[in-house]
Amino acid sequence: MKRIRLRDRTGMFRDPKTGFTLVGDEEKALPQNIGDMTRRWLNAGGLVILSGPVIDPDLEQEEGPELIPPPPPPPQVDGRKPLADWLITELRKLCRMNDIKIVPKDTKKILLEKLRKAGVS
Amino acid sequence: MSGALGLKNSLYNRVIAPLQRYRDGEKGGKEISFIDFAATRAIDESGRHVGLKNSANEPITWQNVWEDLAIDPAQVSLDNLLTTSGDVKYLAPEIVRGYILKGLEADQTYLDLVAGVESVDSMTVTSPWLRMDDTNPEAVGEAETIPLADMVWGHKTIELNKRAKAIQFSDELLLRCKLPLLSYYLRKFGVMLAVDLYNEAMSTMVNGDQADSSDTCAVVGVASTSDGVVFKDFLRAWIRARRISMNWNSMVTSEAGAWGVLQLSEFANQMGVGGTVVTIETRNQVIPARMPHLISSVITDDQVLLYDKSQALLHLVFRPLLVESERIIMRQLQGTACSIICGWSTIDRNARVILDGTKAFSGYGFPSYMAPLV
Repeated sequence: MKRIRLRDRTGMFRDPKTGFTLVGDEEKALPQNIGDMTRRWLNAGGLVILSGPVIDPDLEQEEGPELIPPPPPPPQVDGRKPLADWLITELRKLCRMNDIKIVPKDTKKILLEKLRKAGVS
Repeated sequence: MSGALGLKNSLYNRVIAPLQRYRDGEKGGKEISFIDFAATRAIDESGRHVGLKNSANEPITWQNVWEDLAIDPAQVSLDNLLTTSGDVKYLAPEIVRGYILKGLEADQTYLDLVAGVESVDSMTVTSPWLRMDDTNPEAVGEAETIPLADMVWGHKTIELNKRAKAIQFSDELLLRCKLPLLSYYLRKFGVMLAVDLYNEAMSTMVNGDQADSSDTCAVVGVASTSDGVVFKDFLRAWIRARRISMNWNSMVTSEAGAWGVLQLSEFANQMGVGGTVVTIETRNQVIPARMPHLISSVITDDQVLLYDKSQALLHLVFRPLLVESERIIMRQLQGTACSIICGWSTIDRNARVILDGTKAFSGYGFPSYMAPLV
């Protein structure tokens, strides 16, 4: 799920079909049901996509700076970089790909431990 | 005065055909009702648009038309009109159209939001925009060059689209249902079309007419987010409006928003004797004496949209309301389709503002393009 905001933060946006609303500098997750107007605004640049995958908005807030950069490359377990250098979002994705059970409260350290136990390195 | 106007055999040539040409979308059609057209622009034998006059030499009314055709509208069904000899059958779509128009113009409509209706000759309209900066006249010495104001201009593109719906009348309905009864149902059809147009106009008021967010409505916060939108927030907006030569004297709220705003003591209570000690007569009328109020679901419950009707929105019409009929013989149905091709264009971004009760004014002040002029 991607997060979006208005390009012109002095105004507001409301999709009359879905009711999706953005006011001022609000940032919201792109809804599952994307209306025609929302799609048109995304294409025209009126709505700006902020980040890549987001799992838990609260945790994402804690990991604030991770939201800003462009979407991270898909995780690869081919030894290009050590797991300890991965972002927490990448680690979560890797856990899901390997059917490792995770909870939103899992810290980076816990995720690394779970991956190690599962034999993913 | 039956037959005095001679409409039974000349209705098509004198009124219907010129009316269809007048509404012709390819040349930028214009909206006009049958009776208004007949009264003002029906043609005479030499093809001049002179309009039809009744025996008192006044513009004709529907009553005059019925009398001339020797028809009692209370006793006639749509089928009677469609199967009558002569030109009378051409009246049927106009009657259907008239009833739909009545619904279209009932209650609050998009006409309450727009400064005017403009005919356009294309489905894609290029509209100019311009912004003037530094327009204050300056003191100029003798023979000195007059300084230029900065003017930024450009153009924007607005796409029009078609809205259409069809209804079918069975023969049983046409034969049995008299026109006055049918009118109520057709009026409802017009009301639903009007709702669709109203919602689209409201959406343009909020989002603007450009998908890149360059025309979106400004959002201004309130003094206290715990109180929401109260009178002093209106006051702040009205004062700024006067400083940018606007009259934000019309208001739109949601249903729940109306519940709160209409209970504000400044709007709910009579302010008679014992009110103010001095009645301030501000020259530019900061506080409006009356304020039209509309309700829309496009606005959230915590917001109030204020706008200047004369400078906010234009209704662009490529083809006005068109009512067409066809006979489906195998099913003995009379199909009627009505459609309109139109769009919306904002005029001045300063003409609309949203007061948002969940945002504080300290963080959501007036945007830079609403910088005071006076």
